[in-house]
Formats: sequence, C-alpha cells, structure tokens
Amino acid sequence: MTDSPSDCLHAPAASDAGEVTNTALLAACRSGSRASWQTIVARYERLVFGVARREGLAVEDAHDVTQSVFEQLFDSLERIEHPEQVAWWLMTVTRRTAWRVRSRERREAASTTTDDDPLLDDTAVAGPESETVRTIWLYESMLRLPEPCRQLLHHLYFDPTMPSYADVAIRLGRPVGSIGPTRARCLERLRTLLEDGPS
Amino acid sequence: MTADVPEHPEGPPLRDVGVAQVFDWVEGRLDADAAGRVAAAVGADDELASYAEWFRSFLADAQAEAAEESPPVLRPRLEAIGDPASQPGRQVVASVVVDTRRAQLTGVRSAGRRRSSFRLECEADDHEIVVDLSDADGRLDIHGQVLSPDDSPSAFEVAAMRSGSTVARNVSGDSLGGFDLLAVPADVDALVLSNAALTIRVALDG
Repeated sequence: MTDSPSDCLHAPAASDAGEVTNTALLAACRSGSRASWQTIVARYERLVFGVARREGLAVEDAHDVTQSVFEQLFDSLERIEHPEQVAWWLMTVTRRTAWRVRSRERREAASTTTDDDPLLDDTAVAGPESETVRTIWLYESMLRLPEPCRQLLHHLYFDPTMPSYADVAIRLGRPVGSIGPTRARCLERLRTLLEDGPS
Repeated sequence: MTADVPEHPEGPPLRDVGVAQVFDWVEGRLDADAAGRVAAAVGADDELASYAEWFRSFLADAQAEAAEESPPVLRPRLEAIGDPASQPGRQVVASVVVDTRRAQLTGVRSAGRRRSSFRLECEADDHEIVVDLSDADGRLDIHGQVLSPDDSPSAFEVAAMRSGSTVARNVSGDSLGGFDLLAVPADVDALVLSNAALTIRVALDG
C-alpha cells in the first residue's frame, strides 16, 4: 500500500527530533493519510495485541480484538480529544473489548449469566491506574528510543522466549560481544527517557 | 536471576565499577568475584544503587509486558482499516491440480490401498496452495503453504469449515505463507485461507 501524491500532501512533517507526534499523525489520518495511519498501526499494534494477550485471550481472539480496537480508533478519529494520549485510549479500549470477549465466552460456557451481568459495566474493566500508567509510560519511552536500541531491548527483555545474548546477536546481525555494552547504553537512554516522563 | 547486596560487603568498592557492570550484576551475569566487587560498590555508592534499583524495577515491568509478536496476517488488515481505497478481499475458489486420493482411486501402483493422509495442490488467483492432511487418532492434522505473488500479502489465516461453519481457525500463519491446524474434526469439508487481500476456499470433500 503506497501513498498517492494527494496522500503525501496530507502526511505530517517530522519534528526536529525526527519523531512525528501522535497529534500530527491523527490529524493527518483524519485528512485521509494512509501513511500516517500505517505509522499509528506500527507504533501501537504491539501494545494492543500484547494487552489483549495479557488479558487472557487466545491468539485468535487477541487478533480479533486488535482489529476491533483499531476499527474503533479509526471510527473515533474525529472525537479523540487528547491525541497525545492515544496509547491510553487504545489500552483502555483494548482491555474493555478483551474483557467483553472473555465475559461472552464465560456466558456461553455457563449459559446462565444474563446481559444484565453487572460485570459488563465498563467501569469494572480498568484495573489499577498506576499499572496502566507504568505500561504506557514504558511503551511510549521504548518508542522514543532509536530503532537499534528499541530492537535490542525488545529482544532482550520483552521477548517471552528470553533469548540469550548469542541468539539476539544472530537475530540482529551483530557481534555477540557488542550486545552487553550496547544494551547498557540503551538502558541508560531508556532510563533518561523514563525520568523525563511521558511525552 | 538477580543478585542481592551482601549484608557485610568487605573491602573498598572498586572505582571502575560502571553502570554496565551493575546491570550485569542485577541480571546475575557476573562470576562470584566480580559480583562481590559490584555488590560492594553498589552498597557504597548511592548513584550505582539507584541504577540497580531502577533496573530491577524495569526488569519486573518488562517481564509483565512481555508478549509474543502479533501474527503476520494482522498488520495488513490493520493498515487496510485506514485506507479509504481499500476493497474487501476478493473471494476465490481454488481449483485442484493434484489430489493424491484420486491416484488411489485410479489404481496408481505406488498409492496405498487405504491412505490416512493425502495432499492437495491447488491454484487460485495466481496463488499456489499445497495442503497436507494426515489422520491423527481420528482427527486431522493440516499443514500447508500458500505461495503468493510478490506484491501480495503472504501470511494467511486458516479456518476449517464444516457445512459452512467454522470449526477451527489459526491466525498464526507465518510470513512465508505457511499455516497449520492440528487435531481438527475429521469431517471438515473445506479450508478457508484469508488475509487482507484475498479469501481462498479449498474444498476437501473431493
């Protein structure tokens, strides 16, 4: 899927730091920029799918929930009041949607619960706010790292298979001896970003 | 896999202990001697101690957030949501080129008298599909691959159908077009392979 010339006219410019803000991206999406939508998808697909999985959904259900959440985002482009907090919006909607899937599965399994189930109240979904803040803060800070750092830290610390330095070196095509020192520098950068607070 | 600060670190901390070693120490990557030196340094230096504390917290958060990659079939579907020119995926029916069950029926010598597994080779809309089906204790294990033209999405979701209803599905097809469905009911009559661009129906009932 490539941008048409008219689509390029809508694409937002990058900031001096080379990072296009979510506000600019969502504004461009509202104007029909496919490239901006692709960037939003690339930024947050992992967050949404990961949250859905951690909410206890099977891969197939997490796939469907992720699709549903991005459909809801697209349908809500005109109504999102705080575009810079789109990660928060996505996480909340994902947890709510995942919870509804689980609830429906439980009802189908038990065939005893009604639609009046009080657990269907959306307010019951949110979970501890501090946990949500930490998740989003860490995710957004990882996004702000340079790509090589982001990839390295992701492989080392966010891959549930917990690959060794040797495995990570092979995946990234780097000498194994460079992994430790590079990871230390990347962690220091991440720590600085986290201390700066969410953008 | 973390190390604790000894209660009674002995000797002065080495001045050359750096943040990288603190990270190694927290992860338990150092031998006993090096770990002891770093532990002593951390115990005597508030800044190093703060790095150790932060890294432990980071590891806990990262472990809680760890998740496998999303299936390759997902990304093109998400991108299509924001594409006003996006069309619903085309729907095609695969035509069978090779069905090894037919070889059995027509008496090819190499074919077994009764086969509990068979292969289908099909074509659909410039795609080639190979499906191997094998009996597994009265159920079917299905392995296959879709070979797509270069400019088409290559990962597919697979669903096993019976009388038009989905009885099993797997969205974790790989980016080379490979797909699996294990232990599905033996009476499924079709597979449906789908992604953002295409839906292919493969009849299994011969």
